[in-house]
Amino acid sequence: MNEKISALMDGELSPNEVDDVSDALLAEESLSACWSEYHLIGEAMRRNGVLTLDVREKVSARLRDEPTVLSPRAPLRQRPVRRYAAMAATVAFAAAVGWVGFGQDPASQVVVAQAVPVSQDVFAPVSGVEAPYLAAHQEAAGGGLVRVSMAAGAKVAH
Amino acid sequence: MRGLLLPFAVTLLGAGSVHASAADDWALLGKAAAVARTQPLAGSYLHQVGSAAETFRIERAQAHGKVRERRVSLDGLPREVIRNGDAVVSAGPDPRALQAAKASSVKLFPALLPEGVDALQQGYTLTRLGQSRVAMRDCQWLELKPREAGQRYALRLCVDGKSHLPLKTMTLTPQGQVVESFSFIDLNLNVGKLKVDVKPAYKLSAKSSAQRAAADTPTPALELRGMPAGFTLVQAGERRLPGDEGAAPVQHFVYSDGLVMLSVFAEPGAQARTTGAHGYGALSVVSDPEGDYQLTLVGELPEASLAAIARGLRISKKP
Amino acid sequence: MSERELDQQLVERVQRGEKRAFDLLVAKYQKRLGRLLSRFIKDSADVEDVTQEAFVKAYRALPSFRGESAFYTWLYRIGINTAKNFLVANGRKPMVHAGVEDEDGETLDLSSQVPDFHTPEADLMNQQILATVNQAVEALPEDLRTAITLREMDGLSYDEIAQVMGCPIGTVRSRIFRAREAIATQLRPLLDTSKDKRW
Repeated sequence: MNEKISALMDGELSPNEVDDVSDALLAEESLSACWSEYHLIGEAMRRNGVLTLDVREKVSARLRDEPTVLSPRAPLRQRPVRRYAAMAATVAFAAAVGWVGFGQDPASQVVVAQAVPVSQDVFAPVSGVEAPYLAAHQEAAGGGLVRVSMAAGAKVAH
Repeated sequence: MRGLLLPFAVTLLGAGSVHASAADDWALLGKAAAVARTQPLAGSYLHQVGSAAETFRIERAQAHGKVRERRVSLDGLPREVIRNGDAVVSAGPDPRALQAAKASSVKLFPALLPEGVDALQQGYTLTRLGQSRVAMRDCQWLELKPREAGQRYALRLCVDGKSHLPLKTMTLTPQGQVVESFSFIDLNLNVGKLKVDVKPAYKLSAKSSAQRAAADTPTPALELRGMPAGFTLVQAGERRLPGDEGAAPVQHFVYSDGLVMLSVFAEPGAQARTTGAHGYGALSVVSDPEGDYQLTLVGELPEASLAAIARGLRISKKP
Repeated sequence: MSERELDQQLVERVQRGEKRAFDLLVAKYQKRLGRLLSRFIKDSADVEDVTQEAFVKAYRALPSFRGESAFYTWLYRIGINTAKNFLVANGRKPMVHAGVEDEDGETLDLSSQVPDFHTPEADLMNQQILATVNQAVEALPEDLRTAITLREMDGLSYDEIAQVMGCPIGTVRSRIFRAREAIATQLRPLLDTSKDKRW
């Protein structure tokens, strides 16, 4: 049975086996412990830093006091997608982006050269003191949408 | 050979002999603006700023009046900008790429013009220049030139003779130097029932929409005066700067003249981070003290113009 | 049946009234969600509370989950919103921009706070689990080690692993299982001794 659980969590069990194995998983505590351990192994291999976090019992206890949820609708069937990939966003980095390689006055080139010592031929981040302002401006101007909404407003005014 | 040359000669002759009226030119620009926003297409384009260049792949479909569009960078940082109706989503595999995607979403070539181009007449004149050929298509150059000489950049567009789609654009300094350029490399307008997937392929994404931007920010406690005519306030609020969230919030005003976006940041002089002026391609940054405040302007204007605008701005607390 | 389909099936079981199926989802996702939340909540006890709260909220919201997105992305959104509310309630302004989008389309910054998650005990336990798993993986016969690594680190399907290793799919399935069992055997004493400790 443990081998089937291993295949189940990898999404590799045939559909007709899934029900039986999930039933067994739900019924037997030793099997759900195995389920947890196998997942823990995966997290440890991926060097998750919060391996000691465990809310299983607390959540379970709180759900005991919750009314049982029942869905009013039949859920949609989904086409298969590729395996879960770990969430990104790990790097502490929020630079504005500008283009390097152009500058009308020598001062700007100095700033650019400090920020990006290598390759001058592609898009590269700028990390000077003004970087947050550039980023904020680009966010506000993003999507070309302000242009659209402004034009719409102007039309109404005419 | 003769058969190929003949139509070209006729077009040249036509452009020279028939002097199109200014009204016709504005009408053509209006068509170009609309087509640039909605025309279904598939192609690649080159984006150049100074000596830096990048290519993007773009696909666009339209159904029930709603545009679905996806553009993907082919070099540099991996990123994509997706447009689904009015919503624009920038996406990338990591925060740095996401930031780059946001930067790429500022200009959604070929849609660089506002919806109602007539509003531009206040600040710009429109001239018909010569003809050219871009991505194997013949096109007509138009130039939007700022009325007050030397203040803003000029924009040139080469508009497809058949579809009116802008095939190439150039942003020029008052001295005639090209600071930014977009140009299709290959283009297919006959895309039939093209399917465009609007689901981001990358893990990180950020949505921008004009309504949300306007609604989310609290009204600023300050009032700005002295902005040159033609620039309208499109957004104002208090915010924290990206990557600098620990610091005190700044007042952020966004102006536009229809073509150019200009941000003004106001903060107490003591907390200001930047001084002086810098240029990043067509984008300039200028910092200037004003009373107890430090103003920082970011916008697509020549540095000198931005500095002049900064000096003319007056700030006051709202009563 | 893919992982996503499996999640969906567990969700449907919960939607039909089987609360226990939700426990399996908690066991599967708690550490991933915890890791996400630890990026912008500093204190480890707070992370645990918010993770717990997020799962309870997810359970309550489950009738409205219709499988348009994957369960984990839906869960992450709930987690991020719970974290945002937590930070606001504690007088810390949630940071916006450059990060993961919450339900309102705002982005939460996951990068600018340096996580300070580890209490000495939790840190030690974490290190022990990591070291144990690491050693157990190293000690595996090569074919088992390759199979489990391709699965857990590279996310390959059994079919892809079979192609890489040049063996039948059934062999892949068995190797991965044997690898897991071998590692779990090393891990279990550690988990048992720590059971009475709060971790």
